[in-house]
Amino acid sequence: MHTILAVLVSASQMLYEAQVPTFGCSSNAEVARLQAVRSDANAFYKLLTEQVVHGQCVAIPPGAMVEGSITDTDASMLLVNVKNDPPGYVVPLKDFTPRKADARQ
Amino acid sequence: MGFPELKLTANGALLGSALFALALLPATGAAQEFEDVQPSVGILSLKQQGSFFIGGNTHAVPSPYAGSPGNSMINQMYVQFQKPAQSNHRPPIVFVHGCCLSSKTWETTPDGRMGWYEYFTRKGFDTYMADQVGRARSGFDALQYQKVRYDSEALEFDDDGNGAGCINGVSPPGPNPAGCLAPGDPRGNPVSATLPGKTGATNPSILIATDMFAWDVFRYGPPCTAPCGAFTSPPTIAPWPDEQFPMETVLAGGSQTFFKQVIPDLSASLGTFGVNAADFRPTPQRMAVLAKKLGGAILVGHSQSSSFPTRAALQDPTGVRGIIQLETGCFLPGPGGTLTDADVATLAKIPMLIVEGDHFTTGNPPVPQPRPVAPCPQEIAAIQAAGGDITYVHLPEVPGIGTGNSHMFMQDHNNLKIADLIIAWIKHHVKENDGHDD
Repeated sequence: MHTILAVLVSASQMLYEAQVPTFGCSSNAEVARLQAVRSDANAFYKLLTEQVVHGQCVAIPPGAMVEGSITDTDASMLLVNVKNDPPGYVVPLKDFTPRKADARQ
Repeated sequence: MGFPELKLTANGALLGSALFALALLPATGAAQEFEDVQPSVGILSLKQQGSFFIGGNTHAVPSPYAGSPGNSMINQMYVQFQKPAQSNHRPPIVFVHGCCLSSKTWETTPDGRMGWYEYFTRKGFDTYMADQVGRARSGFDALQYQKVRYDSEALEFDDDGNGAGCINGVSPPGPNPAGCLAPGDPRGNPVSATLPGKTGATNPSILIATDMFAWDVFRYGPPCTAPCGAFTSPPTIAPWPDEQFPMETVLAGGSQTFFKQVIPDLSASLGTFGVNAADFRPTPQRMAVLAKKLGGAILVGHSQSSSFPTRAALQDPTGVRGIIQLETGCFLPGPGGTLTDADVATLAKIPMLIVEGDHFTTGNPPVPQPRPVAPCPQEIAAIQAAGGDITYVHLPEVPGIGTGNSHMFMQDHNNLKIADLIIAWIKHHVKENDGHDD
């Protein structure tokens, strides 16, 4: 079942561009934890640093172009970089805008 | 969760070899530096030692970012190795360090004892250590920092897609004008964007690991909830009573030598431009390439890199003969996670070992967290259900290891006991080479 979903996901990959300094993590729950404290800059930075240090999340710079698709369990999140860094990262969709397929140089 | 497969191994032999290893060690003296390096335990016979790079690509560095405009190399991974004269006929082992650290992690401990680089070589392994891409001898992409430095005064140039794009706050035509932000652009630094002539391009964050960062992350003692410091004299914080890390190299009044191996982490500068865009973690790909070039290797990651062996295997499992995760590094399978059934099937063909230290706590007073740390239970269950060979080890539960191991257990007082535990696992789970060692 999950394999089938993965095939469907890979078939619907789109390019997205990060509009703000953002992040990607290994699961929806980790992204949700960070989003919950995002309005508190200090708490957010501390938690993100902790997650980056433990290898569960990465910082993503603005302007970064990623291939991704909306996750099958949460429409507010994207699953990106499945192909070039499997198993990929979950990122908050609202930090990204879709780009045309020829946008990456 | 226990670790039944390790209990099935010859515990006596395991403990015996660990005790032998400890007997080799002189008593720990007062922590110093050069003076603290302990004498050799005997001749170390090598067939070869050396170093090389995996990967890397050039990108354009125009004026004024470089005094002599041209191209520079980025994204390479530095690898250092030594091969023992007598091989144990197991696959080579490749160590990759964690956040804010380098391959120094695996060398002589801060208090001068033998590190895993030498020990695994003495045990017959071809032993490799890699500096993460963007760290230490692998270098880093300085262009991004220069761009911010020269943001307001540089001349326009042709963007080759690999480097900086626009200048003077104006984005050039074309897609993905990397780093070219107009004044007030919300992607920029809100402070510099208000300065005359500044475009507001943002420096990638540099992670600086302070004494208190190390205290919390490396679990030297109960979390600090008040102003406190390891560097204050006398220290205003105390380690766990059973702490295994050589704390005389951490606390004021001692050498504080440990902190000399802690270096800035520029990971956030990875994956910004052109051909490297979105390549936020290039190291796992390089590890997969290295394992393949070696004709098979056991990949070891720690902390920040603990997930890298798995990521490497999912990129190309061809050369990955074993995965060892030291502290965290698991992925959640199924809904809400990133690990697919196909990923689990790939990992189920590779022996995996997860090792965690002591004192995972939250809150004040500290409350122990359940072990293994999430999402390891889910990943372990998925891989076992797929017929895989995955072993979880919680060090305080292992006979003969004892309590109090830190996040940096490769440098703890009982580091060689833990190395023996890992070597015992390798001998029982990772196939020998097919009759030829080079």
